[in-house]
Amino acid sequence: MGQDWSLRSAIAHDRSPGLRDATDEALVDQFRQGDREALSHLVRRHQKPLYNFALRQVRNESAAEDVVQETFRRVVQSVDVFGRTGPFSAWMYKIARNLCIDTLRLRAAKSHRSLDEPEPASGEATLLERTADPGASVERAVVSAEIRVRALSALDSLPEEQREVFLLREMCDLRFAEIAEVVSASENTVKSRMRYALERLQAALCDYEEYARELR
Amino acid sequence: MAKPHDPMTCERFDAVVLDELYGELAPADSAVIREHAAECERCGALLRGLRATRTVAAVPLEEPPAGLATRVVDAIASQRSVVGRRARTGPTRRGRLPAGAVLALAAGFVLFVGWAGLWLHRGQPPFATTISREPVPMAAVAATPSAVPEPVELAAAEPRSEPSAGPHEPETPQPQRRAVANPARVGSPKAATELALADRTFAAAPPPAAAPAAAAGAGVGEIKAPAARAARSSGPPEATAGAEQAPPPARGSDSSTDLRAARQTRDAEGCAAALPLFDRIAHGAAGTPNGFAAVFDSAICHEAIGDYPGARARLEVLSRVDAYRARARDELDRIAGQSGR
Repeated sequence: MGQDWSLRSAIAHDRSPGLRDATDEALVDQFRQGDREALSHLVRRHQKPLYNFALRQVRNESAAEDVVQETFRRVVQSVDVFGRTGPFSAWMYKIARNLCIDTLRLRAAKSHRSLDEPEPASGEATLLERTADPGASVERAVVSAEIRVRALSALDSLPEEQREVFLLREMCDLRFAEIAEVVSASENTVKSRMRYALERLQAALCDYEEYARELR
Repeated sequence: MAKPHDPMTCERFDAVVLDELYGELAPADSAVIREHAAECERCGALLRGLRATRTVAAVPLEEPPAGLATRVVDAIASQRSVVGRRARTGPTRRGRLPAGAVLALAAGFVLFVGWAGLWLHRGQPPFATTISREPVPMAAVAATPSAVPEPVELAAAEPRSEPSAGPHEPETPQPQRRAVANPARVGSPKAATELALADRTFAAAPPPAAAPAAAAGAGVGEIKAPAARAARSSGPPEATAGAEQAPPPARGSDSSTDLRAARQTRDAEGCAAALPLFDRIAHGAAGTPNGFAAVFDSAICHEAIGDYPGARARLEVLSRVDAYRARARDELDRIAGQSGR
């Protein structure tokens, strides 16, 4: 690591709590001016939704981690050309989306395990099983875990273009106009895909609709 | 967007229901929507159903693997520390390639363009000694000579061979794009991901800051011989050595073996190391299937390291070759998307 590079320590010790309230764009500006802690804040701020977006797209934890790492690497590489034509998050997710597409394209040539297929030898739980969290006890926890498994399954069964829109809206909290920028489509198209996605999910999860209304 | 003073209809409700669902409406518009939903059974049921679906389908975010942020930072830091050392040797900003490296990239690009120019200008590969069995649409390539500069320097520096009816180049399989065959990397849990991203991304060594510079200085129609000479003389020796010291393989040499070796180099050491090899094969085996394969692999590597002008120039040539037209156009579209970010 370069001797003047202190991002790791910036992560370990939040030396600039004021950065927490800064917008993404302000952090990008600060990073451009040499403030490396600004980048560490960007990484910490976005790593979780970005990782989850990638995970649901590439359906492999290791690949998702690599997508996150590569996304930030490209962000740093191209930070000087970030043109402020839109919010930072839309730009970042556009990079991540392209990386996910690359990963899936290349994987298509190989035969990979599907999401719910267990590893033959390891006996390791499937991703669905691992993400199902039964919680403490009682009926609600059981139902919640059941819903979660069903929801993940329904999500994975969505057509690609609908799933990515759903993930960007629900997990990454992008506005429809920003999603339109990420997927290079019109805002109306994005909303249409979102509507279809919700209707498909509604059909798949209709058994739990009443339960959901009770939760609200 | 709903207009507060207009009467809300079910049709207009449908148009903005998602905006309401995700809180993207202005308060006044939202009030109109909610009022309509309260009065209209159909629209009320729609909104309630969508809200319930959101609740049910809301999958909690998983925690990223422990230490992910640190690993991200480490990866970036190791890259930038190298760039930083380079940057201190010149007046460039931190994070950009120094001028020498940019000139070296430009010189490489000039060599390629010069080679392509010779090819197009004379209607055949400059070093052709055999006749390709692949139906090469040379006329189509030559149909756009304005896209390629006059190969002044290459024509003066390198011998020119007339074509002869030599032995046919053996048929070679079409290039398997990004089919990284490195058994040593297969088998670990990380391997699939490495294979997935290695060609295009992780193997990319130089930062793309060089790409705009190369684009500015090495545009296809703008390169002049003096500029090429200047670029060659200014670039670091190691960057131009591959092009100037190692002669292109003879037409009769085993370009298949060379291509395999270049791909192995790419898989093991990355695109930066493999680019001179691909370009040399493209030069020496021009007009053959292996030559085209090398041009294509070179283009992908240029794209991977962020040198979009370099990639684009090669792909534009290949887009006039039947066997590569579709793939080249796909890649050109991708580059257009990438550089448009």
